[in-house]
Amino acid sequence: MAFVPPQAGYDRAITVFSPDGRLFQVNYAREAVKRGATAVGVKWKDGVVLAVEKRITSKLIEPSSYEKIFLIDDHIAAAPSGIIADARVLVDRARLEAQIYRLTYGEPVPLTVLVKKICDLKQAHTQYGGVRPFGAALLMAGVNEKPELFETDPSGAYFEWKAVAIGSGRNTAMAIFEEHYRDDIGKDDAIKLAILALAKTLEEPTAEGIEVAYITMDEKRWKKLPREELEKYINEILQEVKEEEVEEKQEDYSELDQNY
Amino acid sequence: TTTVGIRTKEGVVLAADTQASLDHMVETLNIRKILPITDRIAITTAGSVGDVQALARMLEAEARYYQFTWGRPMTAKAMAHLLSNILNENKWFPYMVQIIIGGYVEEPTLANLDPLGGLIFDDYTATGSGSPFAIAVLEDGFRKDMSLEEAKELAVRAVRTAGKRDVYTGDRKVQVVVISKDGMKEEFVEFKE
Repeated sequence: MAFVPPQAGYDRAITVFSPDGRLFQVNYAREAVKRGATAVGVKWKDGVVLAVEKRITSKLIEPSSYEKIFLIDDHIAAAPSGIIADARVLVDRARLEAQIYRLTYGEPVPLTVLVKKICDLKQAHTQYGGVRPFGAALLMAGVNEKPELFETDPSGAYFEWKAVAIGSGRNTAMAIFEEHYRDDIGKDDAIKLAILALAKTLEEPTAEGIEVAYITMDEKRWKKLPREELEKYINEILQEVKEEEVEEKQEDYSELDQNY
Repeated sequence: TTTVGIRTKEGVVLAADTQASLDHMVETLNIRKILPITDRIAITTAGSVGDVQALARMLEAEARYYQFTWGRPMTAKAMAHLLSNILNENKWFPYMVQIIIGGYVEEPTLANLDPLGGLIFDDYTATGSGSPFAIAVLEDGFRKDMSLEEAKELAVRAVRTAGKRDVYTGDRKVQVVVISKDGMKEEFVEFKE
């Protein structure tokens, strides 16, 4: 044989480790997320906001059929990145688990419980034969005793964040969060920061291309940000960006991936 | 127990007595026998309390799951069919219940379910030990064009009449739930003598 690729064969079955301890199929699933549409989440003292990029590729698409922030229960929502078909399956499971928990214990499901259930499923798809990993990461957010925001990775690892981004715009958005996030951030600033981070990842930010939803401790119920308010925020952001054309730090946040 | 349901053009009325019996003893005179399942659907309960509560919890979970999965509320018709299937799957170890489902999601809907899942959609119906008395009153008083207010009065009268003649039905307090296109309203009608 003249040409033998290094470590050939270790990316065929997901249950087989490579000699240096990797599961290549899981890494490939992560690549699918890195190429996916951006989704961001920002938490403040009394609530949490999710914002996602809608990659509408044709004006012929019915916008109402293209909703990307999924309601799991009254108090929990999810924003996906990666292969949306895979994310849908995870969302369906989360909805089922949420109502099973309610039926069993007579109270709303804690977000941590739901996140663990979804990550158990994701992990099982890195270990058992005949399956492939989910090519999707989910931001799961909601309120129980306090606002919470989680990132779930294709491997089944999960992390809790104050502000986080997944998808192709992760580096850009995380740089903005690192710079602008404050622990005492308020509702309006949190929503604006989420939209700002997302807008910075887009060439032409418009209200059609962004979906925003938020929840507060008072209401404990997810709400879509109305179109007019979203437009107001985007215009403010575009105005401010024009005024102070700050150079963007293209910092590499890929070292965060080592947490996985 | 006596529970009744009446369907009109404007909505659905459910009424029930508030006495819980344990064999020949009165356990309490202050119990709710009409349980809300969603903001637009309620069920009346007759039979085993534990069975009815378990079914109510199941229906509530199914209705919420339906809403989040399909993005629209479960109709009373869909819930009646679902409950009919659940009851019939358990025909060899049945839930000992007689249930009336009333709701207004897309249209006023009233259905009666027997313990094995027999499903009848109707304009007026009654369940429980006092149902023979109540159904006679409904049979006499029901009209297709009655208003919601008239239906409410008829429903209370039917339960009250059954309470007078059936030992296992209370005659002091009647629970009434009215479901119209504006939502669900609950009230209690009390009788002194």
